[in-house]
Amino acid sequence: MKKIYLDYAATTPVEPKVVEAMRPYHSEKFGNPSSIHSYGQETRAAIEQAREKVARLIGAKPDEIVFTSGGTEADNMALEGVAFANETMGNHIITSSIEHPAVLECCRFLETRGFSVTYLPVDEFGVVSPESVRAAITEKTILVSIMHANNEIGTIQPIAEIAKEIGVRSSESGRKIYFHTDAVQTVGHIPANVDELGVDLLAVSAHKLYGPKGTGFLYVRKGTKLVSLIHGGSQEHNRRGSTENLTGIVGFGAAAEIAAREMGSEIKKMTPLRDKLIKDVLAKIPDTQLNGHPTLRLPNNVNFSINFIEGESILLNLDLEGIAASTGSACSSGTFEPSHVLKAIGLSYQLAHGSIRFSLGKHTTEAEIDQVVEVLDKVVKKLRAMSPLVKGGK
Amino acid sequence: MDHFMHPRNVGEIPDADGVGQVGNPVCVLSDTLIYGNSDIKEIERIAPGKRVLGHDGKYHEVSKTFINNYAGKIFNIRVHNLGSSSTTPEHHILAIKTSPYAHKFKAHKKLKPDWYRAEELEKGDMILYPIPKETQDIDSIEFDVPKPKWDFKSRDLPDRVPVNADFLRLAGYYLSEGYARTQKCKGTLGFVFHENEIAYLTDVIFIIKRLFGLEPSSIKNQHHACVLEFYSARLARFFEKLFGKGAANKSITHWAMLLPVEKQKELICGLWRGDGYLNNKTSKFVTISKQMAFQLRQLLLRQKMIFSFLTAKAHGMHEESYLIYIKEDASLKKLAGIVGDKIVRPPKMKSPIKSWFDDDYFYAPIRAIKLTDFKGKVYNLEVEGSHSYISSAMALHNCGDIMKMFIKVKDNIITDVKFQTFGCGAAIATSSMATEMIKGKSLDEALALTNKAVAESLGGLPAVKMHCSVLAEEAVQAAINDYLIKTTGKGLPGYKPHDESLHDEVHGH
Repeated sequence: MKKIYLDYAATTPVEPKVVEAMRPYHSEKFGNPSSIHSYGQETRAAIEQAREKVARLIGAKPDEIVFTSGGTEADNMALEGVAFANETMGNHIITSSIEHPAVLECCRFLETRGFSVTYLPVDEFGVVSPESVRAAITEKTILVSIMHANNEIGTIQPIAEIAKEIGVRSSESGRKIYFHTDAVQTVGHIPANVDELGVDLLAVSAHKLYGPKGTGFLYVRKGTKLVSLIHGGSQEHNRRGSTENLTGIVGFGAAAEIAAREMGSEIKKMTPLRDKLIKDVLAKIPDTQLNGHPTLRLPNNVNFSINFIEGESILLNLDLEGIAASTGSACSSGTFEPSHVLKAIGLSYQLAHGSIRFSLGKHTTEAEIDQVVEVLDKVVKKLRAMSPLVKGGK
Repeated sequence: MDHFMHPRNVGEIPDADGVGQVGNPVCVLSDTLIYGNSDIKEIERIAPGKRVLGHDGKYHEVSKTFINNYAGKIFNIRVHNLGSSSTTPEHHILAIKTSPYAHKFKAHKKLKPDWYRAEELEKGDMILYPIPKETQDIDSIEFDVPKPKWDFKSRDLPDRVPVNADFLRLAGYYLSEGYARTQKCKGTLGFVFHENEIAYLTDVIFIIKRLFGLEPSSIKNQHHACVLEFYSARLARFFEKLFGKGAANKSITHWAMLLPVEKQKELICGLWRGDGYLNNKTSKFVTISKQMAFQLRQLLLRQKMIFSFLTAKAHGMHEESYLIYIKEDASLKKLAGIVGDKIVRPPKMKSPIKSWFDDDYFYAPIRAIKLTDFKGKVYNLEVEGSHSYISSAMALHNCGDIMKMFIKVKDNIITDVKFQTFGCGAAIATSSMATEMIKGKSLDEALALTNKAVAESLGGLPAVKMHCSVLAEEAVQAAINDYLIKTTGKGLPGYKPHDESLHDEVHGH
């Protein structure tokens, strides 16, 4: 059976060219980049090269990049770093109710440390309105964090408009309000230029763009006040102690270079495939709805709610047919709670539990999409036949 | 895997001898009061087709009602300001969990509401109680009490009555202080005011003159009261039709509950002037009409006024009386504005925020949770759209069944068995295996089936999925229990629909 991977939003396979680029940095060129001998100089140069490549991908300067262990650390660094560095200016943070846990959990933590957080609601498509951001800003606001695109439902937020509102309020009051965006799902997939977006901080992860796992970075605009969370070394301009993840960073650089080159053609290839999957499933399977925005969505994201049946059993059935997807329904250790994102866009308990996400990637083909629609239809029919919620038993 | 890929015995048995429903024994006790459109009723008296209030503040149709036999723990949750409700441990209740941030009152308003199981909630957590949202303005209503044929002498009354400030205030006076005598020849609409409420009495006289063109027929002093009467059977019948008669049976007609918030102030004004009391410290409203008391709560929620609701035994002839207190500064000020009283109140010491409003909900803290053992019938509703309903103390979710099991029994042998589930993979596989294992077996053999045995036959389950295998075991027991109740009138001895010890056992290893 040929397997079909449609969970690229969870992680992507590392590009062979990226693996090649990383290979020499395991045992051949292994020096500690902080060492001043030739071993160290060699790897230092590799890291700085990678830094330039990832900086170019988002239109930043190389010294505005802080490499981290991944997207989650980058988000933590942004929120906690800015919050603690600017405590004296205010203690209010604004975010949305559909952020990734890397941001939400950070906010919950900051709440226990004397900060107050506003969790903005979203509309039925998962869009944060720039006006609501503007309205939520108080004289104590120091940071706004809104994700570039949602990982579950793929909705792309009006980041530039939000930045404009923040800028207006910032200059009115003469106080800087920092703007962070979690761009883990977008960088390398859709254009994300820090100046066009108007953000001060931006978090990226390598393994979502065909790079290695365990590597990410935080873009920090020059002049942003940030405290360091990891102490014990002067690496990354004193912003993050710890010997650099050399192979990971080199791989990240290589992946960023490829992404910059291929992004345009990938969007052109993936968008019609995404729309085909949406159209075919909605046409073929009754009582099914698309979650997220119909057009303002990632070119690779499709998220359905399939009424009357539970997401995890859909997922397992698809897996047995060789198709890998993801669900917002979790049935583990006794809890039966659907995803916070699906609840925030107003889905009922039942529909939120019946959600399934397909995320496409550069290796996805049209034949695979056809196969998925056919298998999904079969799986849904089978599960609905055993659901106590289907009217009339069938 | 095979049982998951190709589950056996899937479906319904329409003429099953026993049906077991498990997964979410989400139920409340029979006397739980549920808000419907036009009234509040015990859940046991609610039938499909009735419209009830949902957690979105709108009315939705009940599609199904459930009665289950239950033996186990019941959580009685007492909510500050509102009252209490009793539910099974897994019933989902709309709340925010503030207990982890007990002393960070400011942070509470930022927490995200969620549906929590009754057993997860603790004292101090905040209950979300919806503000009724449906609004429909009405300019005027038809005066739909026709003149009797033989009536030649009574005064002409208007064909339509405007629904304006006058009318709504009058309605409030009638609901609190009025009476209607509608017997033939004695038709009277009357009001009784205390001797120091002459201003209100005058207000009634002028309103009735303006709206209906009638003059009072008599004004009498009795003890410390003043009785005002209008001889008009039609007017008396009109008020009876809209607002009931007799102090204990009055209620506000449904369309008045839907009027715009601004207009409803006049209704509250009339009601409070009649049955209420207001001074610098506190304000109290007392009535013996249950419907009216619960309706007034809804009116106050819409005004975003914080109140405390109490039920007390009144002395004298009446069984129970209902008390509504308003003590919070801002609410008291609002009320004074509505009633038209000037109150000057020294600002109180600032106390930590106990209850508050946002656009959609009233937030009130849980005061106490009592756990009791219960054996008897419990109830639940299935509600279209909102999938929730509102008791007198909280918003309850109506999660459907996760598992249903049907059995056919002949001579104590299970001859056929089928199941349906809205569950994960492990739930499907274990129920399929369980049905295979009990088919053709005696009831006793089927009862001896454990979730461990089911899991072992499947070649083991991951630890986090063991609870799903409990569902199958519980469904078998529930079906047999149902069969026994139907045939012998008695269920399984010592049967507990949701046995927590089972969970400990499976998660223990």
